[in-house]
Amino acid sequence: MDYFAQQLINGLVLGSIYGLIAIGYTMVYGIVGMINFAHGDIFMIGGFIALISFLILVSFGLTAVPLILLVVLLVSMVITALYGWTIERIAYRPLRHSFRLAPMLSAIGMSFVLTNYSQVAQGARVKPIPPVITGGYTLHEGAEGFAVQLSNMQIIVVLATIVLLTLFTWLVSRTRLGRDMRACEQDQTMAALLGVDVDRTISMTFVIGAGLAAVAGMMYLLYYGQVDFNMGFVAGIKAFTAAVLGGIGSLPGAVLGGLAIGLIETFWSAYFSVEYKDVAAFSILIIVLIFMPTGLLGRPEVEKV
Amino acid sequence: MTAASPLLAIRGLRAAYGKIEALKGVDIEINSGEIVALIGANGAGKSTLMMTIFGRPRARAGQILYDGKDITTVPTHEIAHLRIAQSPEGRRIFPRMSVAENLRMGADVTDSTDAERDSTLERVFALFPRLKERFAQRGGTLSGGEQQMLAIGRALMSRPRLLLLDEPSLGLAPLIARQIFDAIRTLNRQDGLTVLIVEQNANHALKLAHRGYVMVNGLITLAGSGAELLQRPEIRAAYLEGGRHT
Repeated sequence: MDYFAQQLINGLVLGSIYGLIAIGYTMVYGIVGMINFAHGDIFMIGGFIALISFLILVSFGLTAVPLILLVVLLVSMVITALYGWTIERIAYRPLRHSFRLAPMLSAIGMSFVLTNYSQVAQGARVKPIPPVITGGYTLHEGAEGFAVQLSNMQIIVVLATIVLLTLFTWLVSRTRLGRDMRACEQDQTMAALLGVDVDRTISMTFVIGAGLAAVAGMMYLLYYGQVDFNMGFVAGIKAFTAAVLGGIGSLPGAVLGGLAIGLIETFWSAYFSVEYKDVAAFSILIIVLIFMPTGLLGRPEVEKV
Repeated sequence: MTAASPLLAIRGLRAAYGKIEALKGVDIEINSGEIVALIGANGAGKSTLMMTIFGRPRARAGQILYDGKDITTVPTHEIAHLRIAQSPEGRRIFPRMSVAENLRMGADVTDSTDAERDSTLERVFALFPRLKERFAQRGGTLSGGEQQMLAIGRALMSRPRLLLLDEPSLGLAPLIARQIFDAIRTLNRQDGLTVLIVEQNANHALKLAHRGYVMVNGLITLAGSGAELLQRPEIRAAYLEGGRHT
């Protein structure tokens, strides 16, 4: 039972990180109907920028951990958002009125560009950092000496996800920007007729998605204590799977899907085999999609015209 | 009437979808405070004209002058800021937004205060009480007539000077169509709203309008007052008596 509880905690934390990345996929898909395959690499870039800004701050002799983390968070969100904005501008916008597959191919290309650029610029080796946020709670001491641990870092990851999900659900459902985004999603021409700057709204979507990916990248760095140029690929595919599983286009769905993938992966590793954890996650995805083609929280495409 | 410069003047306007030319040199003038009807058969280019005013598609030649300024190349999203609003062909309401949000989308462009917005909303409710009853309902679940009311209401929420209405009576029961025409007349008389209305229902439109234009194959072929056009035998034959061509 203790073992189960521990795996549950680990799974929720991993799932939260997937969920944060998945929000970016789901928002972009919602508004431009495109899978942004470079989004996983944006997450990787976020991780690297967090690492670099962290090292710079530490080399200046800063020691106040909360201050460092706050600055790192802001810097990585801003710079990563700039990456997101630039990529949309140079790789997707010129292709928006091209054939449907064109931006998707461009996105795959962009993914390779970012991966290789990071490898060249930062080297191929895994970049570690020492643990920054330490400590935690022992929730339960088992009879055989197994203790259920909840680290402070895990609490932060889950809290960050809950806060950001709430914030962005509010943004999409209650603010003018959110309304504009949904209008563009449903009918871009009509949105433009009503005075919505469609290009700007799409740019903002990429900026927000990249900002969230940066938070995920920073959480990943702090939680696992390392980043590498290749980490965006698998994380990106998992987060994309999470977005589809949750129902692409739905924000809560993205996080729910992320949690589901994180839990499946963790429990499979814990009880069966680590090697086949990805097989398990993707098998569940296939099974869910057979019975619920629009995902867990996706909307059925039935509308009165 | 022609002494003052018109609110909207369209001169030699050409527009095309790819290689298919939909407007072949259209000239139209709309004076402030007028209702102008544009009638013509399916595919004559009426809706294209409405959309070309908003730059979708862009004009290939000619000029669109609004309030004396050339707006031919102004980006689509900035046209709404000039207080031109359109209830487009096919209504194009946002199906997954509530009626409230659809109306709000119309109001957003004005940057008005909450109080101003509420007073405009009350006016829209006065014209279309049904929208008030459906306020929280999703746009996609409304009936055709209600969607039409919503599309017009959304356009009105931006407090336009010039309102473009594309087939407001299409697919509606006669009673509802009359309600909509009555609402347009009220807006014109009480607020001096200038209206360009595209209609296949030429009888209704010409009775409502001060002036009318007839469009055939991307060209204006006839112009005159509403009453005048209603009397023309070729109009009666083509648009009013079941389309019996001679």
